[in-house]
Amino acid sequence: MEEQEFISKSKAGDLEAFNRLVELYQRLVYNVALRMLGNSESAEDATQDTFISAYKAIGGFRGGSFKAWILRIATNSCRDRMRVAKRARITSLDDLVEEAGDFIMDDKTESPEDYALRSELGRFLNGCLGLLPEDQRMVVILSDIQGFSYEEISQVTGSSLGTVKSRLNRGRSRLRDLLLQRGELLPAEFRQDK
Amino acid sequence: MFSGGKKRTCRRIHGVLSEYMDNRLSDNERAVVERHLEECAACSKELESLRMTVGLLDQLPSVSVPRSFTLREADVLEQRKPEPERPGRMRPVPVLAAGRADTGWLSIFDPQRLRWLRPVAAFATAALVLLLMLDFLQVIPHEGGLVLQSEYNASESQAVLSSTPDGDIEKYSGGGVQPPEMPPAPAPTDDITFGGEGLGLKDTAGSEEQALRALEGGGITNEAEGGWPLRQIEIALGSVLFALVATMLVAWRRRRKLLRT
Repeated sequence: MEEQEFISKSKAGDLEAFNRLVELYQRLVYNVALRMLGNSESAEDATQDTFISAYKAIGGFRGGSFKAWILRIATNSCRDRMRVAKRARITSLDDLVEEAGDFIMDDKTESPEDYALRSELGRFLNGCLGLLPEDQRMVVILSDIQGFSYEEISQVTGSSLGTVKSRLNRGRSRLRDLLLQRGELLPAEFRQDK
Repeated sequence: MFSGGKKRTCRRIHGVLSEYMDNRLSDNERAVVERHLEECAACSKELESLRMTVGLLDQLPSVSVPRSFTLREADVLEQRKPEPERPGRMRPVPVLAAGRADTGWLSIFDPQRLRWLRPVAAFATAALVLLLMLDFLQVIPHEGGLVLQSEYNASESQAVLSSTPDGDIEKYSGGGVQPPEMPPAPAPTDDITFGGEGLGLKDTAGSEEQALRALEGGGITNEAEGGWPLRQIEIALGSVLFALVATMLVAWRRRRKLLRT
């Protein structure tokens, strides 16, 4: 209800109301951009681009899921950034893992050892995600990290449900193969499956 | 659900394992997959490794934003796009800082301010094409067109004069239009009757003269005074179109330069 009010006011050009929407969605957009792009600097730029583009285009928003709409803009923004980054293409998994960088963890009660492990695992997972094809990466991120349903992913990506299922299946399988290639960083139970 | 050799069945099962994990299969499909998993250790292992992968991804923490992404007035100074745009085709537009956009004479070529150029140029082009077509087809009476029309009428009348009886001259030459200074027509003689007999040479010559006078007379002049100056309009419209296209080119080059920076 509150969101609808902010949307209506934003359509009328109310920047303050739009900024309330930014506050509601900036974390989601930033996290998706971070997982898509693999480094915090590009993710920041992509997030800023997303909200500027959204403010300009909100007059054309015709209802439905605002979350899906804003994420669709975010994915396009990420694609633009990735196109630019392709000039400095990263070819090896090691490079990507290094590129992933340190992400700020939220759990302040975590022990330093657990934090280090999770941080390293996080970087490794991010590196593997970065080696997936763009379309598969996006679907895996939305489904398995952000917890979106197939229908929501279909709205965000503008693809059919069949395409979403197929990309998710292939993305997960490929990611599993990549993880198994560098199993030493994985939990013991996962390594036994190799 | 699945038939064929074991390898083929395994491949098909692999294709739906993701949906199976997410409970997206129908009861029937689910039963088939579970039956196969009970018999096939390789597929069970495949499922387990996929579950582990998804479990690892689920452990990735949500990251705090490093800063607020709320927008300032300066970020959105340029006007918003009035027309709805498909989000799927959106591209981020470089934002001009307030000072940069407002300083210097080049700011009049700011691409953000010249979005109206394209529709206006399209309209001007359409108008020019329409005018040229009207001019070519001579639908609207205008100065140049009437000259041609009078020439056409004259030549047609000459042809008619040489081939038709005198009684029809008025009909073909538009004789109803009388010039203001035209001397009074000679009184008809008894010999001259429309379509009748006994047309003398003298009378024929008089009728020709009268018809030609009518053709050269003020009727056409009157029409020309009320005609459209199509040529002038076409030239003016062409000049405006040229200026619009030139401005668009300058704006386009400037936009490319901005995108590079």
